[in-house]
Amino acid sequence: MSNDRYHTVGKSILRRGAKERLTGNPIFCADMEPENALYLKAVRSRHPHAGILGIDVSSAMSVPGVVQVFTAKDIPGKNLMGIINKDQPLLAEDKVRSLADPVALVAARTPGAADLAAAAVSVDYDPLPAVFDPEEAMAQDAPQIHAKGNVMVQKKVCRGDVTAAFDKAHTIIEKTYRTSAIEHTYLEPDAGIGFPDEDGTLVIYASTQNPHYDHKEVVSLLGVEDHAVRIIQAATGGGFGSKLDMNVQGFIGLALYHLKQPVRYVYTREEAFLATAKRHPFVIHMKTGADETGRITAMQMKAVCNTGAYGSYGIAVASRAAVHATGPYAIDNVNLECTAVYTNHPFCGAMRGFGTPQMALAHESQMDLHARALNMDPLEIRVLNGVKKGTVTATGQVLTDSVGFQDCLTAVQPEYEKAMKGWLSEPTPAYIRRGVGIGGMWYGIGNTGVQNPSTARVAMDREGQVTLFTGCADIGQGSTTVLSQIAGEALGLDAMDIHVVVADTKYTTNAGATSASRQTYISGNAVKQAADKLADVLLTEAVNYLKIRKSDLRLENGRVFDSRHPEKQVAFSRLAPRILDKGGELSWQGYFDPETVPLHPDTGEGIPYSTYAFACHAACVEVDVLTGETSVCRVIAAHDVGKAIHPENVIGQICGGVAMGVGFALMEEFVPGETISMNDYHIPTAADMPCVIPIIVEASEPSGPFGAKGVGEPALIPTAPAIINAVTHALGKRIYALPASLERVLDASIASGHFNNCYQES
Amino acid sequence: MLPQFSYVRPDTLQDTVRHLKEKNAAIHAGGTDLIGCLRDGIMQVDKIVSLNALSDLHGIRETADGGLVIGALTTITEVAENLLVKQKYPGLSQGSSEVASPQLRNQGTIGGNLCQKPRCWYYRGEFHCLRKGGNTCYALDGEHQFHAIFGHDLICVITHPSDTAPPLAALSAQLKISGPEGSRTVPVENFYLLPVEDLETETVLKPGEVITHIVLPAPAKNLRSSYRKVRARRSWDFALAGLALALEIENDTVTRGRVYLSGAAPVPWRSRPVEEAITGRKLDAATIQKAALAVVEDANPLPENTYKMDLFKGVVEEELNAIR
Ligand SMILES: Cc1cc2nc3c(=O)[nH]c(=O)nc-3n(C[C@H](O)[C@H](O)[C@H](O)COP(=O)(O)OP(=O)(O)OC[C@H]3O[C@@H](n4cnc5c(N)ncnc54)[C@H](O)[C@@H]3O)c2cc1C
Ligand code: SF4
Repeated sequence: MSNDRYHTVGKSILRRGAKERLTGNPIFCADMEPENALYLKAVRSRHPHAGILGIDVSSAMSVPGVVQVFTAKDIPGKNLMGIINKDQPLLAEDKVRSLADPVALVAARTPGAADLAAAAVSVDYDPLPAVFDPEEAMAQDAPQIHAKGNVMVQKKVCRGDVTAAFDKAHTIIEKTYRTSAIEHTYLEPDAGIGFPDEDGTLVIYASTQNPHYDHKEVVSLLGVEDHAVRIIQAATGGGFGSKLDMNVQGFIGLALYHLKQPVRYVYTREEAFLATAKRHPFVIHMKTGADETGRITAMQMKAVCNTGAYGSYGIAVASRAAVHATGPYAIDNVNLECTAVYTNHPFCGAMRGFGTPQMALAHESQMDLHARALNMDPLEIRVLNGVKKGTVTATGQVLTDSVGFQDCLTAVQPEYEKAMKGWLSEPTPAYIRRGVGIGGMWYGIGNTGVQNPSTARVAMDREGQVTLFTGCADIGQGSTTVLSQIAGEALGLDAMDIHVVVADTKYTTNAGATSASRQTYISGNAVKQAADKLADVLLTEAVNYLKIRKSDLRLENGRVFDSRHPEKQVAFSRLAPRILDKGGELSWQGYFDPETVPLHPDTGEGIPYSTYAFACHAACVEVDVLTGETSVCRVIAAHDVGKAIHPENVIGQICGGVAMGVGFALMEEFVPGETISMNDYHIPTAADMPCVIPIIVEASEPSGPFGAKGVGEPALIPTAPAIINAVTHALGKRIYALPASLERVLDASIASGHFNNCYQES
Repeated sequence: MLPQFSYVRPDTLQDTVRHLKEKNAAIHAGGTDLIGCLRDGIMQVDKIVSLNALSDLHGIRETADGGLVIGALTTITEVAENLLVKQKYPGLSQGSSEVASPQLRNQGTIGGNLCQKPRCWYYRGEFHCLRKGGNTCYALDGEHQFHAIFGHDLICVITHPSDTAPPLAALSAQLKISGPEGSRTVPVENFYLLPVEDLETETVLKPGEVITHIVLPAPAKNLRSSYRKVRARRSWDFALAGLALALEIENDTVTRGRVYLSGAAPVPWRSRPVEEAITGRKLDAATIQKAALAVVEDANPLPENTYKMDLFKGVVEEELNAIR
């Protein structure tokens, strides 16, 4: 669609905050140094599971420079946190459930003193048997981690008659897939600072994805009134889901409450690795049946995901996994079930995709297995099964608009065919085998079948200056820019001419979490609604002033003009005082909550999301059959985003998503107690990155702001399955467990015979 | 956190050696390994002696006989990119360019690369293991998928992390060392110590000694050299398996060959079985097959690193095919 009809939407304008970042302004918490700030340090359990018999802080208190050591009994409010289910104490009370559990908090004048004192806190533990495997944790006699039992939640989606469909199926494929725990490894380790304001308000700056949630949680921990705490999101160097949890905010709040003195807490990389959420490792048993044409007629899926010691976003991960198990394919008979289980693993939470990337490995591998069984092309089988307008999903939802999956398949086809024909047959050394693989995905925008509204305010002052107030945390993806563009478009202003007040609980209202790829769609709509209301007031007053009918009036460059006689115009700055003087309103609130229907607890029937994003990646890989080294040469990535409000931001998300996908596919694996830092946790480097060819597909979403949906998580989801399918294509041997590390690829190469015979083959 | 220490930057070798004789003094070249070691608390250092004012230790020059002298302070990038090195000793150039990441190569020196401390996870962590004066090797019963399959004698199972030492050893390089007792020359192949020989240190350097230069003999007319490194990703990582070849090949026949492995043993590991399998032979499919099997002949893998057996076979096969 042409962008010409828009003033700022669809243009890659300079990103808000770029200058501050490039010039090194102290906008990140670690760079903010309030005077005389005390350093905080949590004392962590080091036991995967143990009762606490006593905590002795006396020797820690006698370390020079130590100001205070807090334990659970110093928490004045409710010592429980969690966005969905509250099961995680800020400081452990009677027991610890993972290595990372904090048991005490030190406040000291220097980092050195804080470290010494933390080491001097003596805790009397009564070690308990621990369980790390979620399937073992489900056993009757497994150690109990929480009083309510180890099964945190089980989500089901059923439709049609799976048994009958399997009976009739031409081919049935049944496999088990495993994925690893993943550390988000955002650029900026968690950080926050706090100080008491002149009026006693506890002000906390934090690196966060959800300041309004943080606010609620700190208020509850401290048992104080709402206005007693103010959370401001500092510049945030990435989050990917992990900064949805309370990482340092609670500690800062607790110390501030008692000490009424500036405090700071900046995690080391090691602490960020140890103490923050991970991506849930999954075990997925998936069985699918197809008819002789390759149409998938039935799917049975049982997944167990390891949520570790606490719930965090685990319930959302389980329900999203169940809902997304079919992938972007029309399958009439399904029986899908995902169980999230507590273990003594460090807790798992949200990470880019909430279980969908794990599911995508399974459904995309199954797709290729079916294609192979029927000697079909992998792209062809996806076209055959892919959702389209009118498809009924596993939850019984009819997809009506903005169903761009087929468009994504069409978009990658030319490059895919070039790779299959040309690139594959180019000469390579004998030990290099090439492969091409496809991965598809769908992703529901926003939270699953629950309310998840956003609000925003757009206000004009007497001089005609517009300010956008949004609670939406920009964590590097560029939401502030996109929301300014949306407001600007509605008001005929350049996005940069709008002032913004972002993610500050004193001035902004709740926009919900920056997660679930929801901010452009949901907060975008709230902003648009507020801006439209303001625009309407301006137009109404302009009718009065210009004596021209409303339908002929347009807004542009800070004025209202007659579309037929552009010289007839009036500036906002003239309209604003007129409106105010008449008692009119220039400050408008917007609200948007996508229309969903909660999922039935037994069948999963309902409308989990009001819109979905779709994507298809094709990956070209080279495998060294003698060493197991895999290099991803090229990824063609087509994404249906509805409308790219800021195309460069979309491309940025796609390229970043591919990078994360390469890591998920080939190298990343967090092993509790062993993975300490980036020394032993491998993420892709620039040298591991393929050439990425992003393709933006715009199947306009009628309920989205200017047709937009979202892209943040979708960007990552198809990459790993595309790579795994390509490696399989290269070797003729499939890998069912991520990461497909060098060792696993080497094993597959040996099993395939290429390791021993590559020189003879060539 | 870094401990407290004093810092000196003497401008003569004499003063450097004098400072180094003091207790708990350590050499600072590029600092890329040293600072990490200090931060991880794996050695006690009270004084840091910088080499950076010793201008004679910088740079690469050709010797009269056609060999090269490389100052210990030459950065790894310089070694990797130097034209003479590329022409005469491609293996060293390749080894240098496979070290760590561009930033580390720009900052790290070749002398420091040869003297870097082991990368064992336990050693760098909070474990008081054998090599730190404790009485257990934690890796033996713990995580050892990156550890040695040769030369460990089940004592300490580190692998030597350097990517420049194996090609230097294969190329018969010598190290010039200055110390309190004057200077001496040690071939790279005799520079490293196995755990059975000494557990406290990885090299023959005595307290106060400094590597000043690396001397490479003039390359033989038919010399071909290469270095191949296999690692989990394309940058940053240490070798899982590596192979340095320095072969003299006349009429398709290997007349003389020196073969070193990295990622294999506590020291750059000379593979005599491979040398024997190829010396005096044409590098045909049969010879290469034999060499590939020979490379792991006397290996002693641990339960979690048996994959290295296949990996070394694969690397030997690939590289001998490439060099012939
Ligand atoms: C993340 C990371 C990844 C890495 N990956 C690799 C890799 O893949 N391959 C690889 O080979 N290396 C790798 N390294 C190691 C890196 O190459 C070394 O840190 C670097 O070469 C050391 O050089 P330097 O000048 O910084 O030494 P320094 O840190 O200054 O010194 C290192 C040690 O050598 C001693 N020393 C230095 N110079 C001399 C001298 N002239 N005489 C005697 N003793 C001396 C010092 O006292 C110190 O103990 C990696 C390092 C890091 C941090
Ligand atoms: S391998 Fe060596 S360095 Fe590592 S734990 Fe064992 S003794 Fe220590």
